[in-house]
Amino acid sequence: MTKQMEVDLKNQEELKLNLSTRDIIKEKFHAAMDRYKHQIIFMLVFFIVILIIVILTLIPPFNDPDKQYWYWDPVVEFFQLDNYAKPSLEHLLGTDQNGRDQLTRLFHAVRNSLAFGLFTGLICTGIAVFLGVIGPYKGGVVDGIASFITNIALVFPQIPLILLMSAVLRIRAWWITMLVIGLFTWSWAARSIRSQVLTIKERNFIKVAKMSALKGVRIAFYEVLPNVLPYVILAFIIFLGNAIVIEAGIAILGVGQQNWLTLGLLLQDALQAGWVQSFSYWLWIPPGICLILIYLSFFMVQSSLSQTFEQRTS
Amino acid sequence: MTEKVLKIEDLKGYYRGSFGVVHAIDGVSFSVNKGDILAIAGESGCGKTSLAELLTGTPIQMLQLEGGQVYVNDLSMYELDEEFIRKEILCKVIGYVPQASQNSLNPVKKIRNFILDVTRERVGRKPRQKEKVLDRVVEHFKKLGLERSVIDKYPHELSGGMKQRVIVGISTIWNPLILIVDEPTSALDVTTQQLLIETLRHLKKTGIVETILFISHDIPVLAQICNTCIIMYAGRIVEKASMDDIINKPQHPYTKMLINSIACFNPDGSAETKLEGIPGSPPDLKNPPKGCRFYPRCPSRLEKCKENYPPFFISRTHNNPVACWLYEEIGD
Repeated sequence: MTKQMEVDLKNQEELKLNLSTRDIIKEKFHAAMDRYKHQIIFMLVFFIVILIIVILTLIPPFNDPDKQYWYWDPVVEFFQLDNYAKPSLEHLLGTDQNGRDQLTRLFHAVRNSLAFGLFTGLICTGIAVFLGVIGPYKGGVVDGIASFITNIALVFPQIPLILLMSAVLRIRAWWITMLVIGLFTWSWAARSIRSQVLTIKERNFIKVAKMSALKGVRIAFYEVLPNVLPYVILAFIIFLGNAIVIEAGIAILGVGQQNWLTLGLLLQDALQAGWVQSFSYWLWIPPGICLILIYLSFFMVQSSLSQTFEQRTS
Repeated sequence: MTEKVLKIEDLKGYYRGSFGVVHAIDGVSFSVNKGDILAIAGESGCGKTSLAELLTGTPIQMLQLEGGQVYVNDLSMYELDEEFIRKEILCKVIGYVPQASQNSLNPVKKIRNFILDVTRERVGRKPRQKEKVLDRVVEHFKKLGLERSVIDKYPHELSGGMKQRVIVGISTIWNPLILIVDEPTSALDVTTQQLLIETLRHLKKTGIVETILFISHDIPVLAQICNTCIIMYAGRIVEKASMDDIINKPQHPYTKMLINSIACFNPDGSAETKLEGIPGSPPDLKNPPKGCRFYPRCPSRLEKCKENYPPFFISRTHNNPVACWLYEEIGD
């Protein structure tokens, strides 16, 4: 140890502050609040609303969307099915043709739509990340195949293809719809992740990792991938919103899945049972508004995230 | 007889791409003895970094080996299995500090996690090993003058010199035989340069690394640490000599002009010699000239320099190989 190195070591010790973990957390929280106040508040509200809806669907009286409500009819002195009831205190959003509470059904539909979007988003992101990272990393034939698949998927017209596939496959199961949507919408994200990986893999720290005898696949997923994580998260949010809307679209046309009660199925009921023509507005306006609100909030999450992430790149 | 740890024979490496073929390394051969600190100097764009990339055995995709051999410990690097190179050669035999090592740490990871990542291959994934490895690394970092708290920080929280030493530390965790340092001082101020040189000297003194390949264009820095020197010009070696001979008795016209273009001042601020640059710029390596590559810029060029590339001549007075026709007669 030379003299100069000792001096340097001493300087480093002096610079070190003795902070407790709690102080550090507090400091980081304040720093985050200063910079991203709007985003944090918006996200909190969004997640709390969704949490409330999910919890409500698990507890009575909202836990059974198929429960039929009856009322005592004094004229015929018999129980009558409480169908097409207008919004009242008893049924806040009225009931449908089978006497089922529309508010309960709406809560379940929102929850199921979100879950559907979540799983489909995961499928899309998984495919996009795998092809986007492994292609440029391995190079050569693997890269050729990966970008060929991506290009093919990019030039396909997505929505018509999804409609066609859903119509041709006669199975109306939730996982079929999920796979169909998942397999046809991932392509643009794979392309943008690929271009990011191509720039990052030429950086110096990859060379250091390579010279430290790290395996290629490990470098790709442990060193490169954390650097493209902002794009991955953004892509995931966009996929999530899109999947909900696409599912609703194909469900309205009657070719979607029939297992999960989603917003799309509620709207399809509205069309098929003629509620739009019969002015049963309480049966189709709330699901429509919910769909718009969900898509809007995911769009806002995504745009606020891109604002947050852009500060890093500048 | 000294052991030769690194032997390079007629190495050729070209960049191939849509821009054509760039003859970056064109027939370089030299050898490094155990315990040497070898300097590779030259202008920018003379192939110093390409040479280092080729020596690591894992060059970037565009740079391709076109011929020649690299022997590391009598093992031919480019005939070995890639898996064997990864497991046995990298970081056990060759450590590499890349150019601009300011950016050589993963910006989204703490130093601790980066170290755990890069040591994982050697250590395995047993949970208890983690602390052991970190303790070892911290001890190693202490030798380089780095605090323990460094490993809990992100790269952007460290100063340039500290980052540099962290990289040197990571490259030397497994006591490599040869350490290739590529332009380590290019972005540092003079005091930090001094600290880095002391660090490297200290590493050599304590036996962590024995042989250092120091690539730089900064001859004053090289003069402080190296004992032999190779001057490169346009992808070829023009002169090999000891560091003192290069500075005091340069032979090749290029070396002479390179030494002349060093700004050196006396303590009172007066300069001994006039500062002179080398007019012109290195040749385009896409289609290198047939003859001597320094011909267009050479002040003492001969007629035959234009057509024939000079082999190495050893003059009686200097005893150092130099690739210049001026020394042809003396060699006989």
